[in-house]
Amino acid sequence: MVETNLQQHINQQLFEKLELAYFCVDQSMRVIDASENLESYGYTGVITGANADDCVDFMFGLDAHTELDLPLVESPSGKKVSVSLLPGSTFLTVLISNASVQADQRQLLQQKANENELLVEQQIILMKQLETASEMLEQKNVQLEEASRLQTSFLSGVSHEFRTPLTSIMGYTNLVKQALESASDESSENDKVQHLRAVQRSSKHLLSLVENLLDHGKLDSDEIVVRPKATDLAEIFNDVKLLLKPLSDAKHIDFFVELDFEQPMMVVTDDSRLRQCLINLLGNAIKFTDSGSVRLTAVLSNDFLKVEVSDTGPGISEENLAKIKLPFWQAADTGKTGTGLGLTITERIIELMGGELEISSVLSSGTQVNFEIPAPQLNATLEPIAAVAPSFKQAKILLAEDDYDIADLIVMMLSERGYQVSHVDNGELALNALESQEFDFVLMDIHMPIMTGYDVLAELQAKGNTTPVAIMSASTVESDRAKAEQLGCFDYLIKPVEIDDVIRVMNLALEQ
Amino acid sequence: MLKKKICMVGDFSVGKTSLTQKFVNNVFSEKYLTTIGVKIDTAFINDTKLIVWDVAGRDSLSPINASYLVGANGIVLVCDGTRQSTVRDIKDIWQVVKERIGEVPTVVALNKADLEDWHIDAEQTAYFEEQGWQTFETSAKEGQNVKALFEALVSEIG
Amino acid sequence: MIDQDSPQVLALKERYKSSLEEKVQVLSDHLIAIESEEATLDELSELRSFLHKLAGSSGMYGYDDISAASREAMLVADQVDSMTNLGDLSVMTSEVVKLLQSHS
Ligand SMILES: Nc1nc2c(ncn2[C@@H]2O[C@H](COP(=O)(O)OP(=O)(O)O)[C@@H](O)[C@H]2O)c(=O)[nH]1
Ligand SMILES: [Mg+2]
Repeated sequence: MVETNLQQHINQQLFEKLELAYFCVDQSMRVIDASENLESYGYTGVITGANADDCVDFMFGLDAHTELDLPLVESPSGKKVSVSLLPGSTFLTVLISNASVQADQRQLLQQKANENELLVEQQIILMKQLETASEMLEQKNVQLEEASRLQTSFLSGVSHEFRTPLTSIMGYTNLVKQALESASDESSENDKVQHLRAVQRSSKHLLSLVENLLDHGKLDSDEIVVRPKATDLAEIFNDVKLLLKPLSDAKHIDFFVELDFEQPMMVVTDDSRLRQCLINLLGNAIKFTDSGSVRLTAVLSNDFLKVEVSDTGPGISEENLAKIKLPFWQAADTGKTGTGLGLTITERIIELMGGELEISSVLSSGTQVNFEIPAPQLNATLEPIAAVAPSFKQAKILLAEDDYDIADLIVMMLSERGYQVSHVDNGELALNALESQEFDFVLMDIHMPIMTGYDVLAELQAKGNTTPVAIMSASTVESDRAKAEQLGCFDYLIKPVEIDDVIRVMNLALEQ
Repeated sequence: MLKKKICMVGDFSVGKTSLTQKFVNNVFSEKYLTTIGVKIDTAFINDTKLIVWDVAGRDSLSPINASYLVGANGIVLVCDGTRQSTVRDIKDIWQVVKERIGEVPTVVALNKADLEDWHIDAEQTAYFEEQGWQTFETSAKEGQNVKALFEALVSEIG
Repeated sequence: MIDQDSPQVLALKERYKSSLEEKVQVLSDHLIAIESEEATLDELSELRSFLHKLAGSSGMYGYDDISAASREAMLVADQVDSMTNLGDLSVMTSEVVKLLQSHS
């Protein structure tokens, strides 16, 4: 009995020390016994006969036969408890003990560990981002290196390309110089003229190269301008032929030019831009063709000019066809020297002229480049002065122009053609002259001292003077033309004026 | 009264506690407090009383304690859409669940859908589809799909 | 139809050609003026009007390149709105100077 008492005493002590609480359930999970201190954990209503899972949430789903440890369960009081389910032969005992000290320790440890791990994860992600960033930088770097490689090879290409015409210019200039200096002068005048023409052609070639370079800077800013005017198409093509023939000769390849129109053939187009395009395309064709031929064909029909440049060069692979119009491309990657700008610029110019540059090519059999641009043919009435009616030649003309270089030339050329020309060099004098004398036609500059051309036009309009006035101005700005036309000018000629244009306009005015 | 035991399982810090608290008490806290052991909450869906066991997450120190799962009627697998590893770990966790209580009805929460650095695509969630689990992009913060997640599980349990 | 220049016209052309050197001088002076620190808009407009004249006269005497270049430079001059931004204009004007030199 003492023993039992002792046992009970020890049990009591243990229960209190561990804050042990308990309840027992039968096979159907009904409470058959419960300690009083259950309430200190917040478990209320655990009384004999109650359904265990109605008063203790964690009991739901459990049965009376399974032994189970549920550590660190948060009890309704907020205290963490350890729960042990101890099945017996007839009933199940559920022991609940205070685990808050253990829980607090775990909490501290676990919190640190988890936060640490989250940090590590974060770091890994950051490292990955850093890696991608550095990869991207690496790539950028490669691109930059590529760009600078292209620039360098572009520069050497440019200097190479410039050397050809420069050498030719220097060569021919020397020939002429020698001819002029040598007392005997064996070379005929004709030779000298030929030499000078060659110099001129090479200069034009050089100019078109320079234009390519300048234009390249303008490519993005839409600054390339096309200025169509009356031009002899045949002259353009013949010039280009003479210019490039030496290049094809030097490479021992044939150079054919086939023109399907009469010579001369007056059309409206921008001759210097067209020249630039042809030189670029033919220059390329000759550069890349090492044997065979380069052929330029041009057809004018229904006011459209069709041009094709074909060669028997190595051709361009499909992959490269896509790249070829990019700036700098060929210069860098084909082993050929050049600026690599020609095609890019040509494409843009053709576009501005209202056409489209098409390139087709078969690898190792050649390349064809073609385009079609509007080139309206000028009709007979606009033809040079052959059509001048002799009766107009006695017409009296007033020229108002403050630049003597221009005035003297116009006076000279008109007088040679039988016109009577008076010249004044400012607007006021022009007005005076028109008041004191009769003129059939006035040719007037806009920018003059004392009174501008506009002022004179305004005065004439106010006075009701109807003498036809043609304005000459270097300004291509449309609003300037509009202003002059509003003030009643008969026509607006853009400087430099061609004497034939002056005469044509004059005749039109006199006819009326 | 119909009762169902549901367990929230997944890696630590994926939002198991947050989803439970949003669902049960409609609250959310940005502060992270690691769950130790388990916290049991109850809530109703219609006439069904849900006993939700918010179990401490799996972490490098401790696996899921499978004792908590005994008697569960359904499982909510939770992962964090901004941490791919938590999606991968679902496979292992499911293994633990299956070994202890067999294949019970399960739904998946891809949590933290409100955050920008979302890293989940169809390839990563293919496993969930294979298993036939309904998957929800949830946000404990904004409440998106939280109710739907639990409702779906209850109807799966039937 | 007159397709050959008369001796008088040739003489005028010769006169113009020999004036190119002087034009180089004038244009260079303009260039120095606008490039100086205290350049004014007046100086700019003087340069512009010189380029304007040159575009007209050189073209009539057959110097198409000079004409085109001075016209371009003139158009650039029109774009200049402050004396602090003359980059292009200087470049273009120098081009014209070079062309003038090359013909004189
Ligand atoms: N932005 C956002 N944060 C969340 C979301 N769910 C949980 N969190 C945060 O994630 C961290 C961990 O959440 P918690 O619920 O404790 O995760 P558990 O360990 O799975 O219980 C906490 O800082 C929460 O505020 C969510 O949907 N959106
Ligand atoms: Mg938690």
